[in-house]
Amino acid sequence: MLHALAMVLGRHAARVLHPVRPTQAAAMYAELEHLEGAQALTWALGCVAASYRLRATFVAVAIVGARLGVATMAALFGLVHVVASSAHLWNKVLLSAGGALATYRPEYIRALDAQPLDHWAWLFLTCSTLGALHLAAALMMAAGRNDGVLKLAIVIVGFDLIMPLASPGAFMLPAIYMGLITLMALASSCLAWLWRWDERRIARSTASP
Amino acid sequence: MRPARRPSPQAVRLLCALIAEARSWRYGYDLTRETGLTPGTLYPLLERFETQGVLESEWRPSELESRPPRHAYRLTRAGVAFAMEWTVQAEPQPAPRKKLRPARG
Repeated sequence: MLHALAMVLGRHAARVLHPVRPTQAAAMYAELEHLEGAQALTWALGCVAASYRLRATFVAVAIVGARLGVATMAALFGLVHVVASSAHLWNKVLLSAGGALATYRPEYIRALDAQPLDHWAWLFLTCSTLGALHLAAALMMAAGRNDGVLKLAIVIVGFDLIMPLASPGAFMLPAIYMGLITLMALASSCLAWLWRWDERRIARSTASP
Repeated sequence: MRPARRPSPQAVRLLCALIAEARSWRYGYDLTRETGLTPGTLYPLLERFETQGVLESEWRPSELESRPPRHAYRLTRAGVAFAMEWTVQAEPQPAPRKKLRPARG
């Protein structure tokens, strides 16, 4: 159990350290394979501390902070779309079944009533798909997977381009969505470039304790 | 290549451990045990000494079966001379003295 935990920690430390000190990362991890129990865990914790001490530069911390900030905003954006479209559909179903929506304002109930169930089902399908794609992009952003963010951004832009075809006249929202995801993809690419620059800078610097 | 600057106390501790068995291969874990240094201090030192020609390193097969090779280090001939020079020069550091406050009253 202790050894398994030590191996997980050691692998993490090696992954963090590898881009800047590949030999040190491999050497530290190899030592772990020759230790048992508490010794292995102590060594692994030392390796994690060493890798973070070397890697946690001001630039790296700022990049992770920015990444998490953008990811949080994107996740909230996606979550709002999933929750709101689900709530509309659910309320429409309740209304169609003769249920009362006492806690909602009359304008909202009138708006729900004005459109058929198909409309709300379609809205749920498109908005929750869009929301789920944004949530996935947010997770990729938080994990620092720039390639994943870019792939999802392409899918979302494609989705936004199809949206006006499905509901004619609705150009504004897809345009806003396209703008937002393009900004996110740009931010992700810039942060990834900055991350690689910081790695190269650390790798070039001479090792000093 | 010979290091130009005076080694740090941690570096001297490492040199002392290495010179004890000058020509035998040593592993990172054993060196941390002997010197009391953390991996975060030890490995950058090993890397720096290797760059300076004080140490040589290689991947050596494990004595245990089905275990991966370990990265081992030992002093070069120039490194032995360097380590002897600095470990002889190194003297025990006196403990820092506390400043005494003047008595009140």
